[in-house]
Amino acid sequence: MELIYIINIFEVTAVFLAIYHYKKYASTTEKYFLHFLIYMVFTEILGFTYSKMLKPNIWIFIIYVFISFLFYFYWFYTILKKSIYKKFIVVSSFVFIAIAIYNMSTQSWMNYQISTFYTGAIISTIASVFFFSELLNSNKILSIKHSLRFWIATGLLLFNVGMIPFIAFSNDYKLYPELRNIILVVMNLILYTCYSLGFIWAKAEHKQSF
Amino acid sequence: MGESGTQTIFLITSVIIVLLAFTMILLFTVFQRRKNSLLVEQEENKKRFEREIAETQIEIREETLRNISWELHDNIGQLLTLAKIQLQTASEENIADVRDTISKSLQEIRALSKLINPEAIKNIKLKDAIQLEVDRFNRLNFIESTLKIKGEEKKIDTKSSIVIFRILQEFFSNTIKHSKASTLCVEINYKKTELKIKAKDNGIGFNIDKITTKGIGLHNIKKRAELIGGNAKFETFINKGTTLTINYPYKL
Repeated sequence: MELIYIINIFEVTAVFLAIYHYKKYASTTEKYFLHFLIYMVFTEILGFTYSKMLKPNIWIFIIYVFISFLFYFYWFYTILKKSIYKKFIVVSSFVFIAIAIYNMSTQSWMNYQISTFYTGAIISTIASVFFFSELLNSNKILSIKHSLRFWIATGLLLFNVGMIPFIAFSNDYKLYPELRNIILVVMNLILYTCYSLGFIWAKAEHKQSF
Repeated sequence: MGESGTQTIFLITSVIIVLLAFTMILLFTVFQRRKNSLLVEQEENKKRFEREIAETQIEIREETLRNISWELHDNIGQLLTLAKIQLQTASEENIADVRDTISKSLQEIRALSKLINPEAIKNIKLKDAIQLEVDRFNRLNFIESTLKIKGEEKKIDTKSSIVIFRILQEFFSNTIKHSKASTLCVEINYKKTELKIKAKDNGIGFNIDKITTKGIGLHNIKKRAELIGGNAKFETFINKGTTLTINYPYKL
């Protein structure tokens, strides 16, 4: 078994924990994370099946990157409070959509369209920083351990911070598949550990209206 | 690729690791520092709150002592003086009047002693405490007062009731001393999520901009209301009376 498949174990663990602890966050926007995680597992299975059938599967992941970033933007949009932050998310979502569509129509579907990923990763990193700045100025900081939002945003921030330089040099890494896999596994381990911890430690937040 | 390619990869990998570690440490430090300062702030707020409550309690006690002295002098003292005069001119016919006067004094003393029993004061509810004040004003003919209660009574945090009571006490005492009002209406409205108290007199009012601070003062009343998470509002015009409104959201 290849090392890279360990990532799937992290993903599935996160999904199970998300299902098991669903009640805690069922009344917040985080409930859509469950749907999102399930979609992600579905993508992985589909991608895996296609690769076993020796059919091209990169298009599945191109669509996944597109949808996942839009989902993250939507999530940040609902949890951020300051209207200037919200506006930023809306505007950059449009920029992201434009770049993604441009890439999809001009570039080959046989390659990862990495500038789409870049834009998404940079926007969501900025959004995480916005979220943290709001969190720092609220009383919730006293109990961040129990805040699912904090863990999701932390996971995303760390993942993106690591992935941006990695993707930038992804061509160089192709020559060193072991190293590339190790980095990918570590990044995903960080991301899904944050998610899982979040689901385990989350305490039901007060119902919030959005 | 070869040599230089290996070097690039090595470099990039290190950059990734350093970036990750840096972000983690940054997050941790910033959050920890902010959390600590917030905790210290909360601790200070709590202390300030306790101090403010203690001060309020002392003020209530002082006001109560002042009221007792007032009542002894103006009410019971007067009755006993009357009894003395009646005794001086005592005859078979009016000895019954003397007895009535003395038993009325006794009644007043009993009422007063019941009122100032610390055990009774400690466990009293906000509504009853206000009722006692209103009754006292009527009994002593200070001012014609009424108390209206709306809604279903809800439990109010003891410390908050102390503050609310003190605000009202200050308002009443200003009404009686300075406003020349003839009526005082108090309305307690237990709403779903908040308590609304309205006290209104028909006195001479005052100019909000030109008040000399007496007692705990307007500013202090507002500050105290904010301290318990509520707010206090004055509405007054010269010769149109004064209204004080207190809104207090119930604590969970």
